[in-house]
Amino acid sequence: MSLRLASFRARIFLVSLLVVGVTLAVVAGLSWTSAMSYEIDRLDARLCEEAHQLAARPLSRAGLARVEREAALKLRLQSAEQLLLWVQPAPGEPATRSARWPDSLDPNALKWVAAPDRKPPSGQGDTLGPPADGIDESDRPPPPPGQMRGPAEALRPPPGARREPPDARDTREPGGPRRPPRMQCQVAGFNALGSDWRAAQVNALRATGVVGADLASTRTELRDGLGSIVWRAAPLALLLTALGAWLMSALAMRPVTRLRSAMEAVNQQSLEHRVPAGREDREFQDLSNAYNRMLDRLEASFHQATRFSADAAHELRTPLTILQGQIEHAMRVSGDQPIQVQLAQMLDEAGRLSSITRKLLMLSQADAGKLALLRTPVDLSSMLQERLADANLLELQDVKISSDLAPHAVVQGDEQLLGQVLNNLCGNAFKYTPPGGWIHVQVRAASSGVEMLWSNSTVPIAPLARERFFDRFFRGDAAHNRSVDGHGLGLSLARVIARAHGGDLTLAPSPHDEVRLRLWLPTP
Amino acid sequence: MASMALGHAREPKPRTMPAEMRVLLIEDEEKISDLIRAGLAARNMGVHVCNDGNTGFEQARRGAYDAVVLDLMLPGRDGLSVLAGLRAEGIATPVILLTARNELGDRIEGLNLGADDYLAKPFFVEELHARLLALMRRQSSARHNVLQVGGFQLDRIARQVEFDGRSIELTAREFSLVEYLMRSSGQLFTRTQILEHVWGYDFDPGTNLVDTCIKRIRKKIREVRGMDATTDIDGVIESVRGVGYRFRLPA
Repeated sequence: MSLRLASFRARIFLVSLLVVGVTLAVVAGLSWTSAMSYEIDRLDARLCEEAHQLAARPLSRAGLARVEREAALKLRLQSAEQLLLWVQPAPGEPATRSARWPDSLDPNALKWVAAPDRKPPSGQGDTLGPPADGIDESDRPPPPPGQMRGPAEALRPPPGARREPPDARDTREPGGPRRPPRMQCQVAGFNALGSDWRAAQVNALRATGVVGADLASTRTELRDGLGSIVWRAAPLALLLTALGAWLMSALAMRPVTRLRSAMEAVNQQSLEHRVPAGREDREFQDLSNAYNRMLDRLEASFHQATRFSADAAHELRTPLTILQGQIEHAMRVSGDQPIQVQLAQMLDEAGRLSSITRKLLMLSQADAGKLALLRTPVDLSSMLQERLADANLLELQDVKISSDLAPHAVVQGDEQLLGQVLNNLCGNAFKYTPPGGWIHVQVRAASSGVEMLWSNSTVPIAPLARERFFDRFFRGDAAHNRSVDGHGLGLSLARVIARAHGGDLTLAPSPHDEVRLRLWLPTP
Repeated sequence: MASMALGHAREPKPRTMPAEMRVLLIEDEEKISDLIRAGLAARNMGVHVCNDGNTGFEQARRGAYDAVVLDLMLPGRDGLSVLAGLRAEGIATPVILLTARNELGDRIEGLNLGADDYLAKPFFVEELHARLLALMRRQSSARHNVLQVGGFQLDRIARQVEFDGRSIELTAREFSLVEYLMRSSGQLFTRTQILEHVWGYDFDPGTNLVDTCIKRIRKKIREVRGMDATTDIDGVIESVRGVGYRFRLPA
C-alpha cells in the first residue's frame, strides 16, 4: 500500500475517531446536565417532604439531632453534616435550627421558587410521616369534594398539593370556603459552608420548615453512576469506531484503486481506450466519466495534431519534391557555368529540408503509436561493423575507435529503421568526439535481447544539457562551437524507434566528459 | 545495357535515340510528373504519364512497360488498389511506389502487395533513375550488368571493377559509389546525393565521408594504372569545386 493511500486512510481514521470522541463528550455532558436536573428535582421533592414533616411537627431542640439523623438517612446523605434544618413554629417566634446553620443565612432572604410539580420518588421511608403514611399519597383516592378534614389531616400535605400551580397559594383566602390547606413547597439553591446547597421551605399553618441538603453527595452519586457508564462505553465505542473507520476507508479506497489501475492501463495502451464505468458506484461512475471525457478531448486534439503533421508533411513533400527535382534539372543543364555551385548548394539545402521533414513525420507517427515495423532478423553486429568501417573514412582526428561486438547479435526488427538508429548513434559519436578522444562500442547478446553500449569522450557536458539530450532540435554546446552538421532530431528519433521495438535508448550515468548511450532491443 | 552505358558516356544524348526503357508514371501532381518525365527522358527513358488511378490502371494492364512508377495518393483508384489490381491479374511489371504520407506504413503494405521498391517523397530524380535501373538489372541478363566507359569496366554481378583489364579492389561502399557515378557518366552529383545513395537516408556524420571515400578510390585507380600521387590528380572521378563529383574519363 502506498504512503499516500495510507495517509488518506489514516486521515479518515483520525477524523472518525475525533467525531465519535466529540459526540461521546457532548452526549456525556448533556446526560450529566439532564441527569443532574432530574436528580435535583428528585432531591427537591424529597426535601419538600422533609420540610412538610418539619413544619407539621413541633420540634424540640433536643429532637433536632434525631430528626437530622433520620432525615439525612432518608435523603441518602453521607452524613448529618450535609443537612440543615430550620423550624419556626410561628411567625415572630424564635426558630429552631441546626447547629451548623450559618448565622449569615436568612431563610427569608433566599430566592424561593415554587417547587415543580413532581411526585416524590416512591419507595419505603421516603417520607417522614407515620407508618400509615408509608404508602404513596398519590395512590390514595382523592377525597370527595367538600369533604371536611380533620385538623390532623389538614396538617399533612394533601394529595396533589404540589401539583398546584404556584399561584394556587394566592387563592387560599382565610374567608374562603373551607378547603384543605395548601402547603406550598418552595425550593431554592444557595451557597453556604463552601458548597452548593438545595433547600425546601414549607409553610404549614403558622409554622415554617426549611430543610437544606448539600448537593455534594448527589453529585458524587451521579458522577459515579454516569462515570462508570462512560468509562465502560467509551473505549468500546472508540474501538468499534476505529475498526469501522478502517474498514470504511478501505472500502472507499477500493473503487479508487480500481479506477487508478484502469487509468494506468489506458495510459500505457493508447488514447483510444476508456476506463470502464459500468460496474462502479454512481459517484465513481461520474469520476470515470469525467476522466473519459477528458480522454475524448485529448484524443480529439491529439488526432488533430497527428493529422496536422501528416497533412503538413504531405503538403511539404510535394513542393519539396518539385523544388528538389527542379534544382536537379537546373544543375544538369547548367553545364559548367558558375551558377552550378549555387545550384548544388541549393540542392543540398533542399535535401536537408527533406530529411528534417521525413524525420518529423516519423516522429509524429511514433507519437501516434503508428510507427509501422517491417520485422525481419537483423544482425546488429554486422550492421554496426559496416558503419564503423566508415569511421575510418572520416579521418577523425586522433580519435581511437574500439569495439567489442558479440558475433551474432540478432534481433527481430525493422532493418531500415534500426539502420537509422545506428546511423544516428554513429553520427552522434563521430560528430561530438573531440580530436584526441575515443569511441568505444560494445554489443552484448542475451536470450532476452541485445544491448549496445556507446561510449565516447566529449567536451564536458553540463547536467542541464544531459537532461535535454533527447529533446527534439536540441544540440549540445559542442555542436554550436564546432559548427557540426545536424539538426538535433537524430537521438530523439533513435529513441522512438527503439521504443517502437519494445526497447529503449537511454543515457547512462558517466563522468562529465564522457557520454554513454545504452540501446536495448528485446527479443520479441 | 552496355550500349546504354556507352550512351551515357556521350553527352548530350541525341533525343531521337529510341528509349532504352519504357516507364509508366501514374502521378496526379502535374509538376512532379513533368519533372520526372523530363528527368528520365534526359536519361534515355521513355515516360508515359497518367494522372489518375483508373486510367493508370488501364494503361498498366494494356501497355507493355518495363516499369511502373506509382504514386500512392491518386484521384480515382489509389495507388495501393492499382498495385493490388495489377498483381491480381498476374501482371508482374516492376513497380516503384512513391509515398508522401505514411512512409513506413505504405512501405510495408506496398511491399506486401508486390511492389518492387519504394521511394519517399521528396526524392532525387537521379535516385529514381538509379532504382529503375536496378529493377531492370534484376530482370535482365548478365551482359546488362556490365557498365563500360572507355577502358573502365564495372561488373555489377561479380562486383568487380577493371581498368584496361587490371582489377581494382574496392570495398562495398567504394563500389557502390563508383557504380552510382559511372551509371550517369558525365553527370554531376552533389555530396548529399552521393551520401544518400551510398549510405542511405539521414546518415550524416559530416560530409567529408564522401571526400575521403573518393580520395581512396582515386588512390586505388592510380596504383592500378601505375601512377604516382603527383600525376593525374582527379583520375576518372573529377571533382567540381564546391559542387560535387562526376565520372569522366580524362581527355
